[in-house]
Amino acid sequence: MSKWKTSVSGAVLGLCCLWWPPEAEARHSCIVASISETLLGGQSDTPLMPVKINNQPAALFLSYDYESIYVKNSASMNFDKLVDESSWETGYVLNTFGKREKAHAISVKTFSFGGFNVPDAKLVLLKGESKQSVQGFPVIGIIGNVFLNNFAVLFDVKSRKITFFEVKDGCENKEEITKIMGGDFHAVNINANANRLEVAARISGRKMHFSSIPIWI
Amino acid sequence: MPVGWLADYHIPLVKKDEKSEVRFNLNEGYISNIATVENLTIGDDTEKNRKIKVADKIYEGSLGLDFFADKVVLVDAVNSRMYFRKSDGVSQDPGHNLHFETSKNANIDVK
Repeated sequence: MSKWKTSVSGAVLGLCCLWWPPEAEARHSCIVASISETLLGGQSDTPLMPVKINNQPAALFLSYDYESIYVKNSASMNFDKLVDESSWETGYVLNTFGKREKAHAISVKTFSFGGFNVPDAKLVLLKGESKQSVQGFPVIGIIGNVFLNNFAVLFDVKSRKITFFEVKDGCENKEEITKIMGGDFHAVNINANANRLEVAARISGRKMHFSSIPIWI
Repeated sequence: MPVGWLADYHIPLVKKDEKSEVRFNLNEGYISNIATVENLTIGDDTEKNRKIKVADKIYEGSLGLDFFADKVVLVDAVNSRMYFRKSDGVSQDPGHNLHFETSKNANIDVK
């Protein structure tokens, strides 16, 4: 994960001036860089982001309910040749229903999003073949916490826009947040519980925790 | 959220006998009922008469697409904060019910 984080940060670094207006580069700015992308699909779909894996276009779901970046083979993309059965990187993952499923850790030469390349990205190849597609892109997998937790991520599903902000740890600039949110907004703390995110809520006065933010029905 | 939370937390419902939705994930089906609660408070925001999906085969509550669909949401996992507001965006096409776990939905009436 640290390698992945370093690689992503390296790819993002230095791009702020291309997108983020100069006045945001103030002394107390918490934002290092940002990348925007147009979401694919519609309102009933889990958010889908266009990516390129080894220069081949594909779509990946986005969800905080998954830990790694999981992919499946599709008619136009096959990762089998990247699998080394003898490697320690062959193992099992637990699916949504807690059942063990064989999986392989694979490394791809390039993983691109928003026009920027991340070299030697680690993905987890699941069994089975994906047959879904959206707007001409094969939908081959899902991006989880290993990627998303490195950023402040702005989701505007209705406007089909997603923005990844590389932000400084322990930094909060209310003016920047107001500018990003673009209107009256609400705030709530997030607790990290075993790498998953929790948000406190009250239903009719009873306090409880929504233990993840899966962005999934 | 888990249907058991309604009893565990003594949550009163505004409406009874609401439509249910049957979901099938990886060939395992479950029924999620729609429950309208008096209010849902997250941070300093309270929504009254909020519809929530409750199901019997889940064990955690979660903020799903129903929450995100009409909002602008900034999830800052680095600094452990989430910000949200209603979106000004224009509704997009309804989509194709695409999710990572292959699923299909059907609505049924509960007698």
